[in-house]
Amino acid sequence: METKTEKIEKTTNLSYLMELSDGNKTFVKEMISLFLSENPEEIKALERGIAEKNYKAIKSVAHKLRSTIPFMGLDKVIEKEVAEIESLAAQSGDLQEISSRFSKIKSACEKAYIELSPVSSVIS
Amino acid sequence: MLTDRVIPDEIKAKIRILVVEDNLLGRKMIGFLLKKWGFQYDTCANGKLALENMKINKYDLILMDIQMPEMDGHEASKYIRNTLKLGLPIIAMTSNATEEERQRCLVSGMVDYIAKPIVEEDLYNLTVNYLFTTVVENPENLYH
Repeated sequence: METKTEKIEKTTNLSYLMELSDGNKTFVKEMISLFLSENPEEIKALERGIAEKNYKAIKSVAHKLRSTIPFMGLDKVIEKEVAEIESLAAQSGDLQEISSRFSKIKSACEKAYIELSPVSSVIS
Repeated sequence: MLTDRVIPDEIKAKIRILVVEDNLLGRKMIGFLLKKWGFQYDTCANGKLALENMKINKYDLILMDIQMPEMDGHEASKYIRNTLKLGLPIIAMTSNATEEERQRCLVSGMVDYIAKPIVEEDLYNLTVNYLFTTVVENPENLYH
C-alpha cells in the first residue's frame, strides 16, 4: 500500500546491501536487525564520550560508526560529520564543534531507526 | 572486472580464511561473501583473538581490519611475521584509504589493502589472486 510517508526522501538506502547480497532478503533483514541493535549503542557511547570530554573514546567510537553507516546508506548523509568528529577528536579539537556535528549524526540515525523498523516492512 | 583465475574445487575445499574485524556488521558481510564464493572461514573481533584462533587453526589468508580494540591490525600483523614467522598473505581492510596508511600496512607486514566500504569485486580479486599465487601455484604452502 502506498502511503504519503513513502514519498518523503529517505535517509537510508539499502542498495549497497542488496547489491552485495544479490538481493538476498534474509541476509539484508539480518543486517538491518544488527544495525538496529548496534547503532544505538554506538550513538550512546559517542554521546557519553562527548559528555565526559573523553577524546580517545570519541575517536574510537566515531571510527567504528564510520564502518557501520555505509551498510544502511547513511554514509551519503553523515559520513562527512563522522569523519570530522574522528579527526577533531584525534587533535583534541573543539568540543562545541564535535557536539554540533554529533547532533546531526544522532538525528539522522534516529530517522533511520524509524525507517528501518519494523524490518519486515522495509523489504517484502 | 572479475579475475578469470579459478581456484580448483579440491584446493578451495582445503583453504581456510581468517576474518579479523571489530565491526559486527562488517564481519557478517565479509562472512556472507566468503561463503558465497565457497571458502571456509572463521571470524573474530580483534588482533588478540586472531592470534588465539591461529593457535588452534591454520589459515591460508587473513583479512585484517586495522583499528580495533585490544590489539590492532598493525600489531597483530607484526606479531604474525616477527614472532610466529608466518608468511601467509594478510590483506588490510581500512576506512583510512590514504597512501600513508597503505605504507604503514606494508611496514607492518601486510601485503595489500582494501578500502572500506568494501567493493565485492575488489575483495574477490584480491582474495583469489593472493590465494592463487600462494597456494594454487605452490600447493606445498597449503596448510591442510
